[in-house]
Amino acid sequence: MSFALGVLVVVLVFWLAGSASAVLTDDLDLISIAHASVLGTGAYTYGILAREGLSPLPSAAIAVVTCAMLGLGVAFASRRLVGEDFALATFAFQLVWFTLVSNLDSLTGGPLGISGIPSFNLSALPLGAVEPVMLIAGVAVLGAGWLSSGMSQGAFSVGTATYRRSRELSYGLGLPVNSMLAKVGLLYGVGVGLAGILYAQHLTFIDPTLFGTWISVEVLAVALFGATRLRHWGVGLGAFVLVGVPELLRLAGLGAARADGIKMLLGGLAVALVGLRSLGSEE
Amino acid sequence: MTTLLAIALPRALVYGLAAVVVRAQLSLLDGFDFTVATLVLIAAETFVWTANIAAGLVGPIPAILVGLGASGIVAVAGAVGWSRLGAGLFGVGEGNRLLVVSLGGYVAASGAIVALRGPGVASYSFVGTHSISFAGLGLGSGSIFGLLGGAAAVVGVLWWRGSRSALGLELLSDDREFAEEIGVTPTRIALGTGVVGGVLLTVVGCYYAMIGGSTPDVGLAPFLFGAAGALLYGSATLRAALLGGMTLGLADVAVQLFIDPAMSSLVLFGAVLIFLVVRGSPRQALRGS
Repeated sequence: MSFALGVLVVVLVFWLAGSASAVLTDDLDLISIAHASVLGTGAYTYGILAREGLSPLPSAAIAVVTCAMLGLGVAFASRRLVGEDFALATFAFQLVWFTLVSNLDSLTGGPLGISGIPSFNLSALPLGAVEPVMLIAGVAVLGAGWLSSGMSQGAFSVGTATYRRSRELSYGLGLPVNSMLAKVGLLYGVGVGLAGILYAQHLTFIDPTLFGTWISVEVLAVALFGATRLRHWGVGLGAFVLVGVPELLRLAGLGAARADGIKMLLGGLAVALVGLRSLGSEE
Repeated sequence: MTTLLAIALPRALVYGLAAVVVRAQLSLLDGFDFTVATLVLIAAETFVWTANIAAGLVGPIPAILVGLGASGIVAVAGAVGWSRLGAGLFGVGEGNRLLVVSLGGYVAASGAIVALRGPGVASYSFVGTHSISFAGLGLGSGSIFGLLGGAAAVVGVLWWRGSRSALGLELLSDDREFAEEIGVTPTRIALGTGVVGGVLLTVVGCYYAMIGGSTPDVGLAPFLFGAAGALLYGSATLRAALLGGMTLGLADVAVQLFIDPAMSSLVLFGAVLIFLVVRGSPRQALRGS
């Protein structure tokens, strides 16, 4: 795969993760700093099962179900925690997850991670130069966009707006809060988990540093681009600007560390600016 | 005894100071503020950078003082500027917005440091080579600074508690509407809070820079432990935050000594997570606007 196509895959992966995360940010006004742990759970569950000899499809299915459960946990935590308390709790969860993955050497490979992660085999399809990972990521991005736009309309949207404004009011009005949270949690968990699996397949190796706190912020930054008028396409733009551009800068001779620094600088500024512009403004 | 003096007490003091600043910002701006982490990072980096330059000119020990001075100026200026800006920018109930903006600022600052000097540790070249005799024990300069600087800062916090800005902060946490009615507004106490916050974060940042060097994520642990410490005893006072942070600092060292150093983050952050979930957000926040 050429470098440019590789960058495109990473952009698609972060677009998918960002779109799935945007349901938390946009629909429930929840700022999570644990996106990397969900992304990493998808990648690690898939990588561990594949390493143990399970074929890619069942491995991916189990990984997606695991992430869906994690997503449900995150969404239902919002029944007890709001605002910065929720953000702080997800931050703590991210650090717990990171420490666990870095130290469970026998299961996760510790700091060295897992290598030789296989990809889906779609040799029966006439894909030409298109890698399976790219095709699946592209389809998943479109699916996430379609689902999230469907969720931002009608009764569901009114329900989430009420829940956002007041937990107690939404219970008092008899809104189907549990089903609403389940939908958001499932879309979030499945979307980010699938992104993690595709990321692992694309890289063919994973280690804890790929899923640190910074990656959570990067996914959050990409998702916050969805709060602009561009919605789903805004998330894509965010993925391109924050993930694609710094990767492409390497072509101009910039070292990997400096490219990462620029990525963090751009991502951080984007989070700060989008946060200033969009959050806290009453509907 | 050496462990207590070299590790446990400095850690407890430093976490206590971080908790006081997190509590002060929480009272002032009505939300958790990652700027605490940003200022710890900036203080640590400034210390390392200036001390390394000064060491060649004035010698290793005076260079520490130069580093501390430079770090203090930068951190106080940053804390005052941000407190004043934030007090005008973030209204009541905009904690989420504050958190997002300040988180973005923290990541941007880390990114700028990685882009400028690369990732990994930056440390003061002479810090590992100097062991100083203190109370009959050979302690590193980081531990001595943590003990003496931390203790002095704690005394300063206890003295500051009686000042108008500190009383104003406690009044803002107790009853924001009443406080603002009688003229105690965040903008009026931002200066005092910023100066004290900047000084305390200088101590925290320089302590980290001296004991293990500065890394781009050096501010995260003091911020999270500070936040947990500020909430631990369920009281909005500065004294409770100080005690909460110190408790967590001692617990951190105890876990490292008696369980597993590698698992210290897991145990402590896990405890923070469980604490937050069990406690839940205040009823007022769940009720919403």
